[in-house]
Amino acid sequence: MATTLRPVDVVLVGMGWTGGILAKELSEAGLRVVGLERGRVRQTVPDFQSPAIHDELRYAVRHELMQNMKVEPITFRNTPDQEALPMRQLGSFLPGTDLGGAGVHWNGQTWRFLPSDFRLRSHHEERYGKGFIPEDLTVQDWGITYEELEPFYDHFEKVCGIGGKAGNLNGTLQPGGNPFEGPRSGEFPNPPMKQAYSGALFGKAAAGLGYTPFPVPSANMTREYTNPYGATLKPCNYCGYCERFACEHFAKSSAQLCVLPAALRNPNFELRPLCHVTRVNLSPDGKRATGVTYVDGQGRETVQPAEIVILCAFGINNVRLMLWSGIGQAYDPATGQGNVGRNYSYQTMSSVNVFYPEDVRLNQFMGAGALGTAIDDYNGDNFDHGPLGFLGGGYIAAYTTGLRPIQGHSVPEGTPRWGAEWKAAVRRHYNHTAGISVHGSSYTRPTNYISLDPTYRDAFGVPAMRITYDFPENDRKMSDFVTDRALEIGKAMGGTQLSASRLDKRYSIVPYQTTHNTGGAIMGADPGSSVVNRYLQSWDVPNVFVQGACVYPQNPGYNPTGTVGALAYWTAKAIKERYLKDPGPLVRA
Amino acid sequence: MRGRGPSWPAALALATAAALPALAQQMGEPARGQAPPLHERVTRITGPGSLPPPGTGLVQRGQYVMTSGGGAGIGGACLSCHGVDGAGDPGGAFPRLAGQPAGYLEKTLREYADGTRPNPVMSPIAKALSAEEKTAVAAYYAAQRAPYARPPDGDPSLLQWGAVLNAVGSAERGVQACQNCHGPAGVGIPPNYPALAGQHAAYLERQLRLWRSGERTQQTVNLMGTVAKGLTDQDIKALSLYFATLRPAQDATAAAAPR
Repeated sequence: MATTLRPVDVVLVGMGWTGGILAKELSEAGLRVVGLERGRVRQTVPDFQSPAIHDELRYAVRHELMQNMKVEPITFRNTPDQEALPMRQLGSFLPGTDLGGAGVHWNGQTWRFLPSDFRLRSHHEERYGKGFIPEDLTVQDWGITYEELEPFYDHFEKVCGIGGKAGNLNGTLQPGGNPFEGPRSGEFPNPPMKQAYSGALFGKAAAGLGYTPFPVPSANMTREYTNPYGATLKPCNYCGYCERFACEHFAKSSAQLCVLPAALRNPNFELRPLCHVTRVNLSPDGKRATGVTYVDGQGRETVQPAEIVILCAFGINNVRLMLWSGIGQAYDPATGQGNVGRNYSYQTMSSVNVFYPEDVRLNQFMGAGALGTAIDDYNGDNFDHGPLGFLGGGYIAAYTTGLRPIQGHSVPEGTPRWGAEWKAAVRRHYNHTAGISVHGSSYTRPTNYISLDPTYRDAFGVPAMRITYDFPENDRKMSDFVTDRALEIGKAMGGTQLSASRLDKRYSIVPYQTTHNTGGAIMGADPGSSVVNRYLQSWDVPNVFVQGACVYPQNPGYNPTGTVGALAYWTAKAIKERYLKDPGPLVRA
Repeated sequence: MRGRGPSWPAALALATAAALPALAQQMGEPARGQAPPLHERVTRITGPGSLPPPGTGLVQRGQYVMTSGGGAGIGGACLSCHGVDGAGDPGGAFPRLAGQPAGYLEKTLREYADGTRPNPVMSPIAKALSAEEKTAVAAYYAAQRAPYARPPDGDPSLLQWGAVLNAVGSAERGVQACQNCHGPAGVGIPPNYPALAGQHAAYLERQLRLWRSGERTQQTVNLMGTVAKGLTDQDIKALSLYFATLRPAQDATAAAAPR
């Protein structure tokens, strides 16, 4: 028998970046807020301390900071005619767990999307004509513009202390920055990172080909920084353990460093760890959420009634909870009916390696998650797609994220996969290989979606999330085109050998690619083609709000976190200034 | 590569130690006392001449700089203050160099030369050394082992506080744990982070005060400056004592020296 607790104003499901931001904003507005975190509380001290935190086997290989597939499995298939099978271990992407979520083990690459990304369908129809977008691409507009979101991007970047160089200040192009970005209302709060040697080689080659290189915006601190809430972050020492690790130096922005201290100071906010939410409870007519049911750390089923429920888990986990709780209609690819789970998307990642002679020492073990030099000339619609026959693009960057002993060993094509020759090649190339990443968009098609698995369930008895995904033909063409451009830059970087790693024939869940899963609860202007409105409020159950990259209608060619943070502040403002005065739909359908 | 320290006659080592105070006071002065002038003693062993030709082992070339001063002349011979084996001096003016990461030692010499780390004794010496001499002598001391004499523990609560700061820092005061950069038990992380284990307490204390006051700083990111400004006098004493009581882990650092 479940225990029912006293009602609160707001319950947050998941305490990562968005949970932290909303906890701070809504408790400050006078609401009584409870934050439910399925995992443990963890802080820089003592949980992230060296030397244990640099244990590559424990964290990078065995995924200690990530969702446990034995407790909450995910099943996968490429197309609806296949039978999905559960992943026994994580691979392609790495959702986080415990306080701070994936915002603890992220790299810190903090981008904004292009103005045209938010109006993807309208923009392409205006520029190239109505028939330009292939019929099988279900891309659409976001229902929000870059200009509307700009102040929230700006604020999130100040909260994080992002280091970078503006390329466009209020419409005026700035030397040294990204000339393609949307206009910024102000400069970054911190200067960019010191560029690495491989980044400098990349930048020189790219500039020689007529492109405009710039430093990647970084949540790895470039100096001591105190954010608007009085939280102080420390400078990054380029130790090279960001991705898949937590930062021991107070130097990588996270919910626990940047927003939770402010939230936890407020007696209106209660953080409740080890609470695994199994369902959002609805009123009998299904039009109103009454709260959530969770299983606590002692296995007790508990009901937490609330006036507002906000889903703040890793994006696609929000989608699963909506499907299981019956919030909105599940998408059915056979009929095209329903929207929850529709437009799941990913990211097209490819890369080029440049192998140098032994007298070029790149020392990439000294790195940081967002230490990179990039060009944006081939992202979004920054280049003419007219003659190309595809949509989308990606940024091209030379990152120096760190070169760890277990996973950092690039060798040229043709090297044996094991044995003495492989070992000799690893020794030869370890310190003499530069990597170029192509971080590409991924657009949506009708057979890519999230649903509940009919067979497999998690440890709590809830059906597992089933992902059905393969790259659309459009993405393959795009990725090949941009990878060819990266190869040209690689050639100009002066190495002795090049190799390119392109998209697999079919998307595979096994090799790591990126943790940028998007869609499934997409935002939009029309309830017929979206799950949440422009304020991330459920069309069907208006006291449920949904956070995270699951609201992206399709995935632009950038890392998602900057926009996730901006949208959380955008939602918070809408709740505080409008919803509280008149609870109900913020957009009339 | 690892070079073992040369087999110096015991008499020379003793005479060298006797020259320490004189050099500390005024660089370039001949050593006092009954022993012959330092340059004579060095010349007897090494013979005159310039840096051994390229192709000679880096450590051997570094040994030459250490004994002769290289471009800095005999008055800049490292051994006169830091010792042949790089043991330094507990007085605090001359740090222990044995087993430090070569990259760190070389960078330090560059910083003495360009004024990033101002020091009336070391700056003229570092300026006079060529880039190659800096590299060589850094490699030499990185490859040395020196005897370690553990200082008395002193106040146990002070020692324990030093250990706590090393392991977890003081989050409420914005002080990061030392071992996050300097490695567990102060072993150092080549090439950038010096070993702290076995370093002389008086030297550590002086340097932490310089970091805290801003007299010592870094060109890129002033990591130590931001840490040190959160330290109290008591913290500095505790840390200095703690690291001085740790046995140097030379095998760990010297083996990892680059090149």
